Amino acid sequence: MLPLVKAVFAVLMFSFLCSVFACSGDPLLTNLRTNNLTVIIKGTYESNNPKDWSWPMGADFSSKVIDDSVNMYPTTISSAPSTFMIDITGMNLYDGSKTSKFGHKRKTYQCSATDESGDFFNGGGIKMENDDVDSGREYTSLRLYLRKLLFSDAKKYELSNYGWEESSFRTYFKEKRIDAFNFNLLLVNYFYDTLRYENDGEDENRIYPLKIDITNGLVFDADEEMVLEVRLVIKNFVKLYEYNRLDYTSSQPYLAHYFGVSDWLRDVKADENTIGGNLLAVARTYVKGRTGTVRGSISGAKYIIGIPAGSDISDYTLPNSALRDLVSQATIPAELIEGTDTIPAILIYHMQYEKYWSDWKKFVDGVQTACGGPSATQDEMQAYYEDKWMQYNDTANNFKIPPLATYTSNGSFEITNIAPGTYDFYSSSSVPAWGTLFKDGDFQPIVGGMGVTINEGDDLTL
Amino acid sequence: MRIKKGIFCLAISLLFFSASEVFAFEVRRDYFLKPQVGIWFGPITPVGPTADSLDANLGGGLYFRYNLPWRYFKLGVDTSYQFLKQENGVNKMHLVPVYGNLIFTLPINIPLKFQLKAGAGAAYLHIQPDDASRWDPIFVGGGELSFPAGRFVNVGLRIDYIHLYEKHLDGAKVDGHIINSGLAVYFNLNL
Repeated sequence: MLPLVKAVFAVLMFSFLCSVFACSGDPLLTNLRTNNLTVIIKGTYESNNPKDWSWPMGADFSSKVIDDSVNMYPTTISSAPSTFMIDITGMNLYDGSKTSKFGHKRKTYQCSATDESGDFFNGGGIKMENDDVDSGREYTSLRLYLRKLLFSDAKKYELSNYGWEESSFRTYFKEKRIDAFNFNLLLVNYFYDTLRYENDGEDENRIYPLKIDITNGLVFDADEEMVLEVRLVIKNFVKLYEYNRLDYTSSQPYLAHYFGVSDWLRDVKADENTIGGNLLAVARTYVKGRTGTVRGSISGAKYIIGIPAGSDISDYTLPNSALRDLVSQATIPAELIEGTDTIPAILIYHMQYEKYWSDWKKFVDGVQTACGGPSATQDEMQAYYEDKWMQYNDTANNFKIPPLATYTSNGSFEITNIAPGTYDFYSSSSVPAWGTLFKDGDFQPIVGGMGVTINEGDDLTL
Repeated sequence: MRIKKGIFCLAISLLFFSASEVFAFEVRRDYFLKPQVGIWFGPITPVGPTADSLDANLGGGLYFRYNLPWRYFKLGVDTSYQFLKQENGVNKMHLVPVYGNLIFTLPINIPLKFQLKAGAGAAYLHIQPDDASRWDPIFVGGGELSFPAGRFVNVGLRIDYIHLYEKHLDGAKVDGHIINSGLAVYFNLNL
């Protein structure tokens, strides 16, 4: 028995000495709770110094903010929404084969949609709660789970026995009922998706999660404080849309007018309820204290952007015509929702159905003409139709937001927190109209701004 | 008065000395007072600030106990393997505590044994995603309820609280708090 007791005490003494000699070093339990990876989300095109909110007023509000798809009822909204709200479920990082569930804490945030008081829109960004990820692994994209995106001051127009009744549109945010419209619900199923065989006519989920490519990827080092900056293009990029529920499938038919992200990339046509594919985003990384700055003064310049050296500038602009014109002759009539419960529902459905057949004939005639007339075969017409939509979708998918961007009102600019690397810098003298971004030819290379190598601590003047 | 006090002291002394003789007899007859070795298995639950970073899991360990010359007291040594991770996150921790403890069996003369424990030792931690490890001093307290299932086997329920001490380190903000609980089976070594 004695040797056994001696062995026991030897073990105890060993463990005691281990703990005594471990009087220094990192506190692991504290490290579990803290992290060196910070995720900041901004609602701006610019990475720093964004342009102030510049909502069009008066007659300009009607022509620039109200989308041309609003056709069923003249809106009574004539000014900007007061509040923007966002509800984020969490986020994952994806390394090409599996995801890292590093940000599983919910984040809700609201701020003014008309002034610079909110960090989401003033360039500061809002900080997410997250853990660190594995060191040394390269993550190529962020998956952002957006539960809600809301603007206040939406209107509801209900058709009752007494005519149109106007009220504020109400929904839930942070488990409380508020006056707002959650446009996140409609960021799905933009027209292209219903046409794909593999989707079988169902909605394609493009927002939960929102997949955002990280420029140059993210390789985390646990010994460094890294920032992952995510930008959603929302500021100065808002339109007013119409949500049509006069199909009598709801308990009381209604129309809603609400604010959502601009359809500059994927145009929303009249009678289309969904506005998907228009939430543009970009992500980039830098290590705190290991960045550079670029500054300069260019007469007449309004926007300065920086893109990875050698990139094609046309990836960051669109052709001068509306992108959806590519498929103008290949747009089939919008699908009808069958009304069956009430006499008005049935009558409206059948009348819409007659128009639907008429629109289909016009569509088929248009495609046939484009394919050479009555001699065009079905396969040729199918290929024309499919090619057009693939071209439209691929062009829209290839559009990118530059990782570095800033606005200047007087030509003097500064781009901060630039990760070491080589960049091409461009300037634009034009300020895009409300709800639009840049077209081909808007950007010119800055003299001396091509192939600029930024090292840690650099402060360069172009 | 003095005589009464003297008689009282004499009686207590006789009781004490006779108790040791009784205790020696009891050791030979009470199998529970033999050296014991056992295993345990059950839920391991982080509590307090540790619960913010890690979720509960199952763990297990083994232990050895040896009776001290003073009746009802034993000296034990425990070790176990505990793996904790976040279900909806990336944090993970491998924990191997090694500690000694003093065990007191409540002097209640029924087949069920109630034991209280207090001890100290060290624990090896390895955390992810930081991929870092260290030894931390630990303090342990707990209790156990068991009953004999024959001459050799005892079955019990145990619960221990492990306090991982790190606040002596630079930059430390929290200590670790883990509760081990579960079923125990241990064997009297009738040597």
